[in-house]
Amino acid sequence: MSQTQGGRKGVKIRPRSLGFGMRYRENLMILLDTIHPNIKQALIERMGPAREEFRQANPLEYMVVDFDDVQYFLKASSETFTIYCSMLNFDKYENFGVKQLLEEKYNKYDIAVSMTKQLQHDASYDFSLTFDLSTDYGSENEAVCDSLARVKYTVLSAPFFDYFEAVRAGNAPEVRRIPYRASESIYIKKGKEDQIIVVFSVTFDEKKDWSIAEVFLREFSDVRREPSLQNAPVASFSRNPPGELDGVKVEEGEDVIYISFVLFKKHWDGPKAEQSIGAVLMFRNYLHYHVKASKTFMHMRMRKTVDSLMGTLNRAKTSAEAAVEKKTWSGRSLN
Amino acid sequence: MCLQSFGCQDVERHNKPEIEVGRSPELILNPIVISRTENEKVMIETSVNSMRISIKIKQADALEEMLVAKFMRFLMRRAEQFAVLRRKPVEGYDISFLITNKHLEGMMKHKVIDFIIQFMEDIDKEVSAMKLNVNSRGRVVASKFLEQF
Repeated sequence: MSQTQGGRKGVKIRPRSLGFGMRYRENLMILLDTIHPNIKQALIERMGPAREEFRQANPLEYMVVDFDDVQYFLKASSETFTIYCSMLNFDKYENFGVKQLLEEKYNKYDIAVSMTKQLQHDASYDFSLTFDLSTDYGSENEAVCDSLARVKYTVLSAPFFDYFEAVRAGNAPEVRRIPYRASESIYIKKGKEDQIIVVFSVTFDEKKDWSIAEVFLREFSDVRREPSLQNAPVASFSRNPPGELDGVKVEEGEDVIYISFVLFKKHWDGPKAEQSIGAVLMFRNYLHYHVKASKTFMHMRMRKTVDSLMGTLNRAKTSAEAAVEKKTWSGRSLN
Repeated sequence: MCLQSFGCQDVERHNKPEIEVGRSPELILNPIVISRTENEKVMIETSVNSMRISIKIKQADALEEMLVAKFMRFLMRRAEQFAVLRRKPVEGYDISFLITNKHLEGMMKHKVIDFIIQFMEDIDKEVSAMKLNVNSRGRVVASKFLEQF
């Protein structure tokens, strides 16, 4: 990762697959992609009339995972494709407009949304999307694949849109909690004027990771002073629940950190809303990913240092110890 | 570093590094502490057949503390390869070396000293380089993320 040392302008990282849904996007190479590459590939290979032969030869039953304990089960026959999806604590935020948003997103492509729980190979899935593979989407083919491959973000953004709508209507609840992980949640709250505050509770399994994350988070407030980033939301973090969450039951513990973003009207109300929510939802994984990448980089450096120090120590050894026994042509030892 | 072979006085046919055993005060010399600041110092303890060099590395903040701890752990896990490295640091220090007369039989004294000096330089250099890298990555991470809005 030494390429990142060049600073903001000279950032050059080769786009490559890191497996498990992590991929550098071609032009935003440091950001994580919201599109799940495995799902996208499975879809691209099978969609449209041109791929009929392929899907007849390759029926699919495939389980994939995503960040935040999301699990997909892809099932394809020669005619239909179904994505089953299970998400943690789905029933707790299901009522915040998830169904409506899924229908709005996918019905226009003739994709059927089913919100019933279903069993597949002894695992329970919360909802499923089914569509006919022989449909010809023409030039929209890739857009359909992308939109299906980021279904997790669609689901998680539903409570946000729902809340924004309520704010516009003036009947927003005080705080909305999305318990999207076992011990971490997102809180949405209406702030002053037209602001909306999004608070994450983030935990670090390893306490040492926090010291790296803290450096990163400090940069968030520093970087915002740059003129080009003045429009970005204000980010802040604390070890105690922020004042905005007074009176709300939150995760507590020594290693919980609260990170809040203040979204302005232009972020949540208007065409940029979807992009903003996508970025906010990716934040936790983004932070963790870069903490881990830093650690990998450190490890690489440490290895190199150990090697060079070993070299210095070996030079201290007297030649008698280092010398190899010399032998004559016939194999007799000289000593 | 004038170390000589010296048999254990308590147990017959044993030859132990006296600085570690510490049961015969007559064999141990006064330790020397060289310190730049309170948090940055070296202690050299000598005895008749062994010496112990302990280093405390500067740790200004939580990140440096974590980096040093990580690095030292990494090194001490490889103590076997380094021969002169101790598996655990002396209390109050971050890393310790134990050099015995055995080591000096196979190695040149001045080169061993070179090694210790280079070691100290390298560690300082690495820690600050890693710290810089975390900072610059943080900057890129933050600006790239905020550019999305």
